[in-house]
Amino acid sequence: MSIITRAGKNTVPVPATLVTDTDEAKPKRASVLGFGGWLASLWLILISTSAIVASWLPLDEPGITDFTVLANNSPPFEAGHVLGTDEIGRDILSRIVYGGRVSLVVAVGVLVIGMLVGGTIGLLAGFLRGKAEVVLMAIVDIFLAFPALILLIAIVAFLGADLFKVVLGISLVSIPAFARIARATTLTFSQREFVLAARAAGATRSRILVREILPNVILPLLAFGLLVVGIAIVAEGSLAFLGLTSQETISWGGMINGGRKPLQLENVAHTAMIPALVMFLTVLSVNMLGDRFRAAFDVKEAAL
Amino acid sequence: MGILKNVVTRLLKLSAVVLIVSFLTFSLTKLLPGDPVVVLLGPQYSNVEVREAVQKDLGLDKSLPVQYLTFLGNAATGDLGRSYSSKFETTDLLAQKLPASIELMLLAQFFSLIISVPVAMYSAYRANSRADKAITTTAFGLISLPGYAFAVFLVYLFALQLKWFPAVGYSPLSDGILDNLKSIALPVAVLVAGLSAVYIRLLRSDLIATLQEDFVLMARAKGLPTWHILLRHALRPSSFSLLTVFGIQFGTLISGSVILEQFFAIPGVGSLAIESILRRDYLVAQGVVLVIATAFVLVNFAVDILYSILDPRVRRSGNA
Repeated sequence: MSIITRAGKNTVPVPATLVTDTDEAKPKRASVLGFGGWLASLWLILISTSAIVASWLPLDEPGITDFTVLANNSPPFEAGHVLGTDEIGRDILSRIVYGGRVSLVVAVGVLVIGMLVGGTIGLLAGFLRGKAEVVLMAIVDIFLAFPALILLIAIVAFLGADLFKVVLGISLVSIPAFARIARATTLTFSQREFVLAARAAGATRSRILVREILPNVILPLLAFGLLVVGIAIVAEGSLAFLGLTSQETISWGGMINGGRKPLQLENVAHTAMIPALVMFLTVLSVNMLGDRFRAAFDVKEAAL
Repeated sequence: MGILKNVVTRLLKLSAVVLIVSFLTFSLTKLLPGDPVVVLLGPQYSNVEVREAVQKDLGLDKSLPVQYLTFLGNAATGDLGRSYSSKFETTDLLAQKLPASIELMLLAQFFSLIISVPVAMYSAYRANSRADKAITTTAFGLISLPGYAFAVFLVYLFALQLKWFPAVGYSPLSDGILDNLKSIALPVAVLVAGLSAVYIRLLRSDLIATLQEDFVLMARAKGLPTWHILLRHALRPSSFSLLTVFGIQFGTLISGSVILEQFFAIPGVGSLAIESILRRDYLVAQGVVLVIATAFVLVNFAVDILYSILDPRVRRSGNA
């Protein structure tokens, strides 16, 4: 009850108008996504479908230099290249579309590995409690205590630079975060009445875990996973940006890196700006969806 | 009593974590591909005796546990070894690179706080107004903006078009404070954009919750002015999660500005870590990563303690 906020000045203040934050339950089911959420979904669908069917689209080869383009740097809308060409005359639109594949693989890889491994660790820790929890969470905390980007760089230096290994590295680094969320969510659901009811009905521990708790943990974990995906896409971009991923992989981060040298940026800003913008929109969309889902499934950050 | 016991348990935990972090760092550099002896002598060098002498000199002929204990013992006495390739002491290299990193970190944190506290207070006070919506939307957008993408844009606009700042490079303080600040303004701006967005979101939602409390109603009933209630009554109980994240960010920024250091060619600790890993200069990499990770752990520890000192509720229940 606040009277300091102008919203409820004349009559009894209505808390609902003041607490606009995510923890307010939304009664209407249809408004989970909202206008922004729909836009975000559309953008992500566009990016991922074009990435999947890229080889059938009427695009230039992403790795081929167009020598007809004068000085290799054509601005957008000229010489038959819709988004222009990059620093060595390769079609940017095509590279954006193919670069989307990398982000897509990173997103899927992190979601699958993070949820499977991190989710299992957190679920077991939260459900078994006792010594298992202490040991598992200690391991998780130690990895969280390590600066993530440095760890990632070392892992990639150890494993190698091709896409599969980069995805593996990013997923490994993201496991601890998934584990913490899964544990926190499991802890809250383990206290609920339906779990007690199942126990009273004589259900085995494994049945309670799989049939009662798991279905409730998955959705919040997925919502959180979307937020991790945003970070993972940026992380892959960071590695490419530092030149740590394979040069043959076409990725947005690598494109930004290719066009960021001051001289280049001054004359042909679009070579770095376009991939930067595409990456921003993608991360924004993923974050927005994650935020909406999280609001809908009500995962309290304080429960961590 | 309670708080002391709390601190002791945490200290024990902390030393265990630092020990394990040092072990991980050591194993990591052992797992990385590439033989330091080859790095030092060059791949063509074939004289076995010299190779063995170098190996012995580096202590690589001993068993791994002995190597680890030597590394740990040396690190504890402030000796992080020297670079294979450049012969510099790792501690000297760190001392060289630390000022730029610390300057970047402090300036970024300072400006983020200066910006985010008043903005969040205004936003929470006018919750749900048009201004509040504009602020929260902007903050959400800034959180999604990758640092290097924003850096590209800032360099293009402010360095190349308007020519207000140099595009890349770092002028140390000895070049004069103006040049120094100019050279670091853009990377600081990139960091501030991301950090203040996080801080604004945190503080705003906590403030909104605090403003619903009875003691605010009480203060209002006493006729206290709005600014007084916001600053003196609401801010302190709302600032705990902000403080926590603020502290954690110090730890993250030690390594988190790696990308920006590379982008703007700032000679910092992050760049040192990456370059030594890539150059297979594992002794330096080992030392730098150990220092970064330990600093990270220490900062998180300090935040935990600070948290329980500031918030009586945490102190009483004994868990943060």
